[in-house]
Amino acid sequence: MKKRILSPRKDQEKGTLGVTGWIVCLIFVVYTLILLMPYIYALFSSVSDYKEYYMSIFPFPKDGLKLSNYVDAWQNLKHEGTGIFEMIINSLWFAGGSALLGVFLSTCGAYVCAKYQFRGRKFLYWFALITMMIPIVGSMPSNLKFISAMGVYNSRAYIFVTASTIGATFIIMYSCFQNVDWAYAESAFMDGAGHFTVFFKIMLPQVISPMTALILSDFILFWADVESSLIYYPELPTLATGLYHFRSFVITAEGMRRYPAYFAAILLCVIPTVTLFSIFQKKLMDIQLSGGLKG
Amino acid sequence: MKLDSKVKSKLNRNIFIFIMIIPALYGIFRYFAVNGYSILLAFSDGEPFREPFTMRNFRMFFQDMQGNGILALALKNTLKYFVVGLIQQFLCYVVAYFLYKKVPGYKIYRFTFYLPCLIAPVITTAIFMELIRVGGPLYKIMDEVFGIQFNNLLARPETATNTIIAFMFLSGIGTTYLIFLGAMNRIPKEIIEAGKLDGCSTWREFWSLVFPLTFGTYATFFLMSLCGVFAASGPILYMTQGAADTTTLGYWLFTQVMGDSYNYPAAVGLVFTCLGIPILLISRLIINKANPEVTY
Repeated sequence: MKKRILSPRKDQEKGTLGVTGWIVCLIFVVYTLILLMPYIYALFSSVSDYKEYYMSIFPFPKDGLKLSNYVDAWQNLKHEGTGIFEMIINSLWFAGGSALLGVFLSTCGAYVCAKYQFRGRKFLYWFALITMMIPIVGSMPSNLKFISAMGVYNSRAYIFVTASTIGATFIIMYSCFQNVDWAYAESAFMDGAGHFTVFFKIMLPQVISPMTALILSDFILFWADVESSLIYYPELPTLATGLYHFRSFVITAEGMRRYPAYFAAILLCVIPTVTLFSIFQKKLMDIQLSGGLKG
Repeated sequence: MKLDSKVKSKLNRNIFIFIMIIPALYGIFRYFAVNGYSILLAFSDGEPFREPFTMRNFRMFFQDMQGNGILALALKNTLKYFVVGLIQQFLCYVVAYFLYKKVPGYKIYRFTFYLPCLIAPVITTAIFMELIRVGGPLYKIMDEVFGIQFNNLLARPETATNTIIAFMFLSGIGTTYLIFLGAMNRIPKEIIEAGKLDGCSTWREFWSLVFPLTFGTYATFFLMSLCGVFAASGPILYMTQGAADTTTLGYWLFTQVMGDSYNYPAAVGLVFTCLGIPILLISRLIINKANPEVTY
């Protein structure tokens, strides 16, 4: 009789969990549908007219796709004179600028702390760690005062004053640089390279993957931020803020007919983050899956 | 000449270090400026140093907390969202385990569970509110299939917070599951194989092998959640604007700032910061003691 050899490694590789596995799989399928259904609903709503939208449980464009809703959204999504194009520019500026600036400036400090010996480097590291861990509640009022005092309230220069330069990103980049071999830099110094050349041409390219991942996750976070826009730069609405205001309009009797256009605007707002994710998804997911960030 | 070049090289190095740490130094300055000023605001009734210092804001806070005022309600809701956050975190861990065990279609779930994080809450909440509104798809389904009619779920205090909590569960589990999955992937295969050979069931493997071996990662995220205990909140701004008893501390602070009130929220923030630090430190101590010392 042929003996069956128990091979757990093979079992795990194949993913055989027996009945539990299939029950979990079923739950995951249902949950995936729950996650995706609202966006499918939004997509169909955005190409229906308002009658189709209101009359049926699931809006379905019977007389062809009403792509005019997207044109309507593009032309009429406005808040106090700011149109959708300006909102996109504001979103790109505040989300992209804050993400790029925050990660780059944190990287500068993290690099010298990780690779150079100087007085105060431990203090900087511990300060970053402590700010990450100590829960400060309610600094919003004084932050607003600070922003006003610096003269960047309602200004595009806001990102230069508020860029996070010492915190979680600093700590992550610090550990990234610790994993980068200093021998590359030493060779470059021997060849006559200066400190800035070594930093920009040798060390920075070696941590570009984690930097990209951090910039991307910060960008997604800032892109969605409505509160900061409402408090610190209310006259420069971003796309997310525009949608927030637009919703206040469509729930009124006057604006009800514009629901399909509202959904079109919603989907337009999703495009940048989903596109960025599609381009960098492998990098982003691989970095998180590796359980941390390594250079 | 040689000395000159050494001095020059050292000078260049020091200038480089100084330039590179300027942003970090500015970060420290901003941290102290903002939080220092916040403390001054808390002890004042207007502009610090222009107005006399006072304890009035703190007295007001303790009075507000004693009754059924907005702050007591905000704190209650905040703690609810904090607990929901902890449950979600554990669910994330369980999801990561099954992805680690490679349930059928795990690569698809790994991707689809990530998708909601790409979409702004202002969008997800808007779609959700459309789905549950009176006359909306869910209302029609409940009415036509089950004959149940419900009022506006977000307008009534008895259902509003629960509806927001349901939304939080239905709108995604966050990205933490990928980090947990990464930690699980680092467990040596031999340990899991040994467990299998000893007849470990799935749940036994989960509780006795995987959880202790990845406890460090889980504990780190648990502590990070504790850091934000008083900042926990649902998407109140997008869904109810604090109506129907849904306000939280975070949202209350936001509305105060929007209403040009600075001193009282600064005092409230200071009290909760002072409460948060010992909670964090004690929890850290307990977790460090409970953490099984495992190296692999």
